[in-house]
Amino acid sequence: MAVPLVQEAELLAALRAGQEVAFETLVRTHSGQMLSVCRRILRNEEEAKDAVQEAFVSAFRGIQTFAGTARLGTWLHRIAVNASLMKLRSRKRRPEESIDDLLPGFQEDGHARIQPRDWSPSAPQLVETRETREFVRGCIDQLPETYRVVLLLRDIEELDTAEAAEVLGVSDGVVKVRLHRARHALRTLLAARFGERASS
Amino acid sequence: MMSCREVYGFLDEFLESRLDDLTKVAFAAHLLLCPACRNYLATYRATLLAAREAEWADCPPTEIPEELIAAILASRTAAVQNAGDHQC
Repeated sequence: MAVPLVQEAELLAALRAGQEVAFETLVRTHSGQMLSVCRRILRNEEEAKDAVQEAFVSAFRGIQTFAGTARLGTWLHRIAVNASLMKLRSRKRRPEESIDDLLPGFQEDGHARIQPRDWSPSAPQLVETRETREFVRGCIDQLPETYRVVLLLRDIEELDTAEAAEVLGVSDGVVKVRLHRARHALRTLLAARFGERASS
Repeated sequence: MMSCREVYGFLDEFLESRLDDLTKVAFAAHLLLCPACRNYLATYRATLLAAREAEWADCPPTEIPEELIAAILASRTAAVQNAGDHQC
């Protein structure tokens, strides 16, 4: 829910003054959006709720130092992303599988090994129903965690490269490489639904 | 002439309009002559759109459960009280 700028300035002033009603307004206005973000990253309802709660605790602590140059919603979104990533890091890590089989292969002369056909006119079918959207999300979830997270941060949560690099604690170059590979791999997984086989 | 491998490598820069002029010309020239790469580009773009739509459509900003709101506000109250205790 977008809050008009004037109201947002008043809300920020009230938050900084420690007014209880302001904190409740902040939570009621932004928590739904933050829960959605945490659900997308964590894919687990209970962990997502915990992450939202932890995100607000961080926000309450940081409200005095919030510069106010970004919208409150944008600031809270980043905090929710961070809280979700903290939760992800605390999970027991599985050994990461290679993504190479899902990447396009090339002949020695640089030509693609598979001649892809254009299934893009049928692509809207992928998001037509809840079942097909679940298929797409399932494909995203098949990506190894480091690739899935970069794809979510850049393409879904709309962080820019530098922002994604900062929250992940890696370089811009690493984000670009992982995103590139994640997008190609996801394309391969979706293409299978249209009868295209992987190239290797 | 740019190879298919190079075209695939430049897809992100192309979609984000970050190709320099020379590379852009070579990229466009390759696409003109290579239907396979045109197909790959179209489906690559469709992949990004499908991912976004699939993630957003069933996960819109939702009503948050009242008990979660209460828990969030209670955690703030507890934090304020803790801070007060430490000051004493």
